[in-house]
Amino acid sequence: MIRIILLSCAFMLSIAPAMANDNQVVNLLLSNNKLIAVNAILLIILVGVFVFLFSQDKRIKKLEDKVK
Amino acid sequence: MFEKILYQNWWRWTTIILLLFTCIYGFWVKIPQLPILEESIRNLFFHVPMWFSMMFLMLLSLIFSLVYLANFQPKYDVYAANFAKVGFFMGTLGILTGMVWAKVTWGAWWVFAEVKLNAAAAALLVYSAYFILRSSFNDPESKAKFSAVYSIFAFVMFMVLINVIPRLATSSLHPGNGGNPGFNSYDLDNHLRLVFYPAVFGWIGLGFWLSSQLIRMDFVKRKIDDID
Repeated sequence: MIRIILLSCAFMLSIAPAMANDNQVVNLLLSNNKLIAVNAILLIILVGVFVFLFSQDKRIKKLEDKVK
Repeated sequence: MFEKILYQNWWRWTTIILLLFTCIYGFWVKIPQLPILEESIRNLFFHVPMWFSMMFLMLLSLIFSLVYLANFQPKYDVYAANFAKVGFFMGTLGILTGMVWAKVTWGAWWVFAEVKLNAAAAALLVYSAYFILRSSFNDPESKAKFSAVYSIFAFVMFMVLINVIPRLATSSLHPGNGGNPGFNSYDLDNHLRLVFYPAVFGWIGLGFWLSSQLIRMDFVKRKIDDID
């Protein structure tokens, strides 16, 4: 599951620069890697949230099976 | 049928893809160069969809409250209460992202003369009263009945405060209110739309995901209580 999420991130990041064409601010931030750092931190948080939610789903499923 | 949806995975994966798309492209996409707003317009992918998510969850809460009042099955009260909880949470996130945006563009975290900000805060207070009302009953049946009735009032008040009063105001800093043109009319170009619409569905999906977990936990708790 984590692999699929990370692969999706990698795929989207790989084609993201195509979206930034002609954007001077994005290009400036890109040239000193600030944009990459912001995106990376945001993605770490987001992936962490998704992993947490999936683990919670699993725990709830176990509890539901126990109660049944 | 609705219970089945809670256990399906397709919407979880859709939410993940949409939110990843939003959080990656939201920072890369070409934006219109507008004075004052400048790069802060990217907050459009977070602030507005969070409010849409709140509206969607509160609407679900209202629908399940009405269904509860129609047949008095406790499970519909569980749905209504938990959708309202997560809706409130999304609204709080909406207010916080709005405050950051306000600081950057208007120069203050909170503009007290701004009608929409005050109305949004009042709308959250209306729903706070819903949770206080719920916690004040010991009997689960009375709790469900009273809160279902209050939920109807809360949703109507919420829509009036968020969508009607700000539009009646003579002046407002928000786009689309107080005579200002909305984002749609001149700012929201096709580049922004490409990220904005997926963001709306992504944040709604996240809200629904959180609600589904709370609902399932509530059902487990109820079953354990019944066993005891």
